Amino acid sequence: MDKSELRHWYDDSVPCRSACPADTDIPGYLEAIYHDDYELAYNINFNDNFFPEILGRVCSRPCEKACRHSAGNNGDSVSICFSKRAAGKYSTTKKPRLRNTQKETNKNILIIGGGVAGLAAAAELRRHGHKVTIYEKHKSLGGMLNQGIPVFRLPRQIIEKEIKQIIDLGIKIKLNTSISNQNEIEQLAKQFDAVVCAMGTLKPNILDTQFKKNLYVEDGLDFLLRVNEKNEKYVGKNVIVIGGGYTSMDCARTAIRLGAKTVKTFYRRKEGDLEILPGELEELVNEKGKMIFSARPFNLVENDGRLKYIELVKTKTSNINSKLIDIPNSKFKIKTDHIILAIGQKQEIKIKNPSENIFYAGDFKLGASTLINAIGDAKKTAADVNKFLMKKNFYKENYSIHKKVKTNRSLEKNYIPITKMQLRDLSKRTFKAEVELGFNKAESKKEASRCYLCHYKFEINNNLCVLCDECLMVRPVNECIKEISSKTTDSDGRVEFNKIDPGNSHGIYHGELYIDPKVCVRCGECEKACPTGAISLTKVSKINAST
Amino acid sequence: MRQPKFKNINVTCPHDCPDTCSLVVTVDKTTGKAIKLKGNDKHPITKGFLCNKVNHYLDLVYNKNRVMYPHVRIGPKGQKGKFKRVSWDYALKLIVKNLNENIKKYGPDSIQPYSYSGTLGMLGYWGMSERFWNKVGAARLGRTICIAAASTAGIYTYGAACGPAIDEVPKNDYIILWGTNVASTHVHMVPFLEEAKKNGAKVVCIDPRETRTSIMSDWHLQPKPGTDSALALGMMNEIVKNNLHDKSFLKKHTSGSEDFIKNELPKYTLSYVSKITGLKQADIKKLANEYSKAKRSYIRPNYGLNRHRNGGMMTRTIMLLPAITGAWKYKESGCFVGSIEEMWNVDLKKLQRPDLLKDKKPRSINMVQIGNALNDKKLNPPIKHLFVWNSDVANCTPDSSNVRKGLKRKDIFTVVHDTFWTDSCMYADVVLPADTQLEHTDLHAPYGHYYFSLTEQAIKPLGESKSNQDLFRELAKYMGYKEKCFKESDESMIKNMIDSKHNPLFKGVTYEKLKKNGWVKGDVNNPRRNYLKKGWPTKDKKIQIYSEDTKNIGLGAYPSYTEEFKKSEIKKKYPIQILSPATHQFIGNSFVPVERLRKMASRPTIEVSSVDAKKRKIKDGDLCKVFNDVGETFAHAIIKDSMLEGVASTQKQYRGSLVKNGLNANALNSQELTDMGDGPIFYTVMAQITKV
Ligand SMILES: Cc1cc2nc3c(=O)[nH]c(=O)nc-3n(C[C@H](O)[C@H](O)[C@H](O)COP(=O)(O)OP(=O)(O)OC[C@H]3O[C@@H](n4cnc5c(N)ncnc54)[C@H](O)[C@@H]3O)c2cc1C
Ligand code: SF4
Ligand code: SF4
Ligand code: SF4
Ligand code: SF4
Repeated sequence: MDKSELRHWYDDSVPCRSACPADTDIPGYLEAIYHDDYELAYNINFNDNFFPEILGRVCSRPCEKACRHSAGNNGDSVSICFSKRAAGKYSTTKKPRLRNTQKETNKNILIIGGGVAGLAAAAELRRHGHKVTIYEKHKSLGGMLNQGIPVFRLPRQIIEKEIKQIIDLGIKIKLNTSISNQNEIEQLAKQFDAVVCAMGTLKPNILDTQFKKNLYVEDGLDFLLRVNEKNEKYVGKNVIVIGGGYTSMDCARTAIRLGAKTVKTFYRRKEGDLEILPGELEELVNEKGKMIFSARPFNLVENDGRLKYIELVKTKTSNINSKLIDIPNSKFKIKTDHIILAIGQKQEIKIKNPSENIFYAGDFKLGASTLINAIGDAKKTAADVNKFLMKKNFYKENYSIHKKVKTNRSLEKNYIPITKMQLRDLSKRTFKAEVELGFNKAESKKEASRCYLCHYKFEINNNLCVLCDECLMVRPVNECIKEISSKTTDSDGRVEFNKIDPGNSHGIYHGELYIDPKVCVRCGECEKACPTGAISLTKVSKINAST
Repeated sequence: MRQPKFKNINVTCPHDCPDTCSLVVTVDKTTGKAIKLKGNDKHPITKGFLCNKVNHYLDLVYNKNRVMYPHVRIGPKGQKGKFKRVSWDYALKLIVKNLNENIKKYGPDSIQPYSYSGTLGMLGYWGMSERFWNKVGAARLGRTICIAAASTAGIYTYGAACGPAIDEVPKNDYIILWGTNVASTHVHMVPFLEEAKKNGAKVVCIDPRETRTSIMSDWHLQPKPGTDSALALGMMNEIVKNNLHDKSFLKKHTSGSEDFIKNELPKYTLSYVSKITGLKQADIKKLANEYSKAKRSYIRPNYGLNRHRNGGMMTRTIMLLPAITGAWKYKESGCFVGSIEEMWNVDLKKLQRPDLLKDKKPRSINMVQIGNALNDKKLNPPIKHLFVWNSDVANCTPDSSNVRKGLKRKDIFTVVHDTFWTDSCMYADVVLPADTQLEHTDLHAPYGHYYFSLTEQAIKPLGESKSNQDLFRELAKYMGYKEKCFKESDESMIKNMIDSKHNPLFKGVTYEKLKKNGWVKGDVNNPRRNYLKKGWPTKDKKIQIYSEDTKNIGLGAYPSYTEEFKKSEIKKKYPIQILSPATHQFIGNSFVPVERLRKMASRPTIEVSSVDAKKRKIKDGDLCKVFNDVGETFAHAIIKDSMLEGVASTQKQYRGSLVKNGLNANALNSQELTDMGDGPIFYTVMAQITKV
């Protein structure tokens, strides 16, 4: 297989990794955990996404949606995210090392904004050998990790530990340093070889000027910032939260913890449109928060400037243009004394026609997004910066093929049910106490053992195949081995095949058997059953390495 | 304690295949249903895996196409026959009445049994049935359709002595697969070949067509079909010229070698042989050289060769190669055409009771020529009662349109005992339900290795089906036969067969051991089989390079090459030689009812060379008519660059009713016979191909 074929094979084969914006070597670290090597597991993560233990709690987990273990009738996805957390918990390495660090280049780069995007870009640029300085307007690094995400989801010592690991790569920091407009940025661009803007999206969206004016209507980001970072913990009795994203969930659950009597969250769309973590809605409900879909706020009822009611209207999607519309005569009002708006945010500074050495990263570039999207984007930005400065590509994806390997797995492992995360008792949930308790070692190993290890490659050598059907008889999924009449690889390395059509072909004798890497669950049953040794196993490792 | 819910039963694959696998069948005791079937992983040949066919055996057992009850025909004979269910009692009475009437009116020769290898169990193939027909005094059937030429050639040359079986293959350095597609028809040889290759052996495949086996081999040679004895003789000549023959072996163990080497071999020069076979001179030389220089060599010819008119001689010549090189000196080397001559050597007097014939001398009809016999107006007495079991006569016999014409005759009463509604059933007056291998007990003696194997009843017969043994026991009862031998149980018949006085291979084999283990290896090292020491079981205890037998039947005393087509003009009118080797999906007619296998086979096909296809404007997949003076059939073209020009290859015994005109490739075949053993000449056939 040449490299382009391998690339397609790997992309198709390892859907979790393909779905990870930071290209985390997921099967690599799950296999390490399976072999009790938590150091390796942590290190793989550190090198690919820099924040293993943070992401192991609050990542949005696009990988799990893509995981083969959740496809078709395969069951539930592997708990990829929580396995990261376990890797952090049980790794004893004090100082994880960056692989492939380059010689110092003497290039100076400024990063504005010390959220995950800024920090990830900094780490990546250090790997490239550049000098990096971060200007951060807040009193600490971390961005939304500190300023947004509440402690009960993400303990602060975890943030500190993983940010320190990055600073220790040799990064200069200036805190409480705010850059307020494009002019300043352009000035800095003259002093530094390159500037990366990673200021996130700190400016809340506005609902309506009327809402804005009332004292008891607050933006979610402000609310979270004051309770998390300023110790100003005031909350109303009957709190209304508006929105259907991370911020609305965090605001609602924080309000509950601060003693609100009722907390109701309204979202104008349906449950399936929520952009939150798996399990978050369930916990909100468990914690006695109410979630109401398909209703949007449109008016406040005040008395003497004091908030009395919020008026809402029910919504539905129009069958004409599938836009959201109000349902006529469906208005209703709810008693409230504190409204929190969590309806999205955008960039504070707009930049137009910047100099060529000014780059963007993370939410500042993408709009309000997710941690892993911001990190993945920062890695790309760092590569762009490097290419701009050094006139060459740093990365080369390398594939190595290992022969004479074993997966050390068996079919039964595919039927192990997903490991449930232990949660703190409802009665013991406080403002600070973390709700999810993490896996113990045995649980994390068991969970890792569920992973099919999709980077292993079962392949049929048709020149040795006697078409005995033994492999077809033992296959646990129908289409893992396909009977094809022809197979071609296009110039890009993509495999295309035609399945045998019994009514209109020459039958399998003149065809081939093909293991479909998109379907194979790597159980090894076919290899065991094959009498002629036609089925072979190799392991493909993908490492993004320097040239 | 609760009883375990499942039990495992040892069963043996009954099909016409050299491998005779040992199977383990799991039966759910509460439902009595077989739920799983696997290759026995302790059996040294089966090695825990099965072929694509028998892997789907349960779909064959539990199949909606099965004949479950006796039926009588209620419409005209032919493809769309209609039937009515009757009781066994009714059916047997009807059959017995017809038998008695015809015996009385025309004599027992008017009763024609017809059967072959639907099961190869010793009881089911030729046990109780033969006792019955002996008692009736019915006409004999020359059961020659498969191995007659090769087997006769072996007996003429070596006596009934067979070579080392496939489990010895890994000890050899040079292996020639000669006219055998082991991947499709002898699949348990493949792991031994792979092992040999890992040990450094070279595997050569000699086959006119490209097969999955040729692809697996290190070297593929494609001689023109029917020219293999020329190739073997050319090799011998090269070997002798290079002084690589084993003179002391030849002297001690063969007769006629000096004359043969001096007077016969020299004419098979490289250029002569190259012209005949179409192979390059250099390749013939290389093959001869490599073969004779290898210390341990092993040749595995198979029965494809013996489907040519000159097939007996081809097999005999190839079998003599290890006599020239002295490869026979090593017990794991030589040549292995099969083990049937030794493994099937049971005391037929005990098993079949020919004494029941008394003084009757029944006539014999060659099964290959049943078409002629059924249609022969002058045959005296005519065939009045045709009793078919273990065979799909309408599809397996050459000149099948002629056979079907005979089957359609209203004045012949036809009985078919089969597991499935085959094409033959459509011509029957009475159809009787046969069972499958899971439903009875039998003993198996393989023809491709030396492991005897027992099959035990795993499930109750489905519907009202009966094993061959039970069918003939019942018939004997209805005929009023009083002899005790018709009541003998399967177990007793098997025990009586295991007789090491009669056959040394049975030494150490007992019914009890078979029952416990499922299989027992024949005593291959028995001193009575030490042919090197004791001499070969021939007239003069030597390998017959000079053969009185072949001389007597007009083939000359020495191995030779003769062109298989008597008249060369035929090739002008019909320029393409049609091979019809066994398919990968079916064994004869067996397994057609399994949907998976029908899908694997897809549709009737014929492999055509790209040159021939181009000449005829045939494109891949086109439906083609294949025809000659005997008949016609239809198949979709598979165009192959690797196919020799002037040769095409279609499927053996495809079910006729799945072909456009209702007839398979046997419609093209004549009823002529092979040079030795009176077998069929399925591959000595020329035809024309056109696009439909
Ligand atoms: C409440 C909340 C909960 C969330 N929960 C999740 C979650 O569970 N999972 C998930 O994947 N995503 C979550 N997100 C989204 C996620 O936090 C962001 O996508 C991510 O933090 C973006 O990273 P960033 O580095 O681009 O921006 P930020 O994290 O916003 O970092 C921007 C940094 O730039 C600094 N800065 C801003 N302007 C300036 C300036 N002018 N000069 C200097 N410094 C400046 C800020 O102080 C901040 O430190 C959540 C977001 C919020 C608001
Ligand atoms: S099974 Fe493992 S390797 Fe495969 S997609 Fe899921 S996490 Fe990734
Ligand atoms: S390893 Fe083999 S049997 Fe298992 S899923 Fe993959 S192709 Fe199917
Ligand atoms: S088990 Fe092996 S030989 Fe049999 S069909 Fe599968 S790949 Fe081919
Ligand atoms: S047909 Fe041959 S290979 Fe297949 S199971 Fe029977 S004996 Fe074995």
